[in-house]
Amino acid sequence: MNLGRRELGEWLPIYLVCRSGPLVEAAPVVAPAYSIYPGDSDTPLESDVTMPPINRDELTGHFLAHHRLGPKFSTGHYRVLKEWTVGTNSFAETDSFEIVGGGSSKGAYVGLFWYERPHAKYLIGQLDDGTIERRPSPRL
Amino acid sequence: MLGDGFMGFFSIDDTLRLDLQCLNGSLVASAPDSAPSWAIYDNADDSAVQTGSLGSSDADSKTGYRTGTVELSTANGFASGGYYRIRYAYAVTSNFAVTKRFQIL
Repeated sequence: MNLGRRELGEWLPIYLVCRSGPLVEAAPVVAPAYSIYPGDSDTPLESDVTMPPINRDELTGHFLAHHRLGPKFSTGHYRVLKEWTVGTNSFAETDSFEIVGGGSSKGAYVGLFWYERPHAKYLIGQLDDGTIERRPSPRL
Repeated sequence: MLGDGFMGFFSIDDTLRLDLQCLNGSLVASAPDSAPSWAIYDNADDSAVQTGSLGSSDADSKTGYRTGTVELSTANGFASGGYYRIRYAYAVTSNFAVTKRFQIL
């Protein structure tokens, strides 16, 4: 499946329905894993990242990971290979996506704090990657 | 399940990375009997613009995962605005085929 066009800093959703041979939804013996490859190489940027299950009570074999497009990534095309095992059989399928210009590998603000001092006012923000930024003299 | 379907948008003169996860008749990831072949068709007709083969060994030691490249150049018959289909063919005891699509902007 093509996962679309993305920007740096986004959380890329990687979805997988584990199936056995006859296309029946099936629980894998261990957590499935994915690897991400850049468009110009077979050396993975991310290797065998395990995926967490979703809605385990009602769904069998559904997994969803959110992968942050951080500093390892740049604009270009990428491939995702997802692998899982049911019984003794190993299965795999592929996704692809493109990172286009824009965005920031630091991600988005996950917290903001209004910090007022006698000499100035600040907005203190924390980004997805943990960076703390101080923005002086904010104005509306 | 069986393939990627749409591969995305590319530019003329890009190097397109071709990839294919080979499966057997039970959809189990399997190394093909020989290097998978591919043919790229212009959506306007059924004549092949380019043909070739993917690698003869698994990429990144992933069973049945084969890759290759093709230059999306005008010299190779590609054009901006073109919409293309790729047909991969391979054998794991029996013969299988997978199709994907991409567009050059």
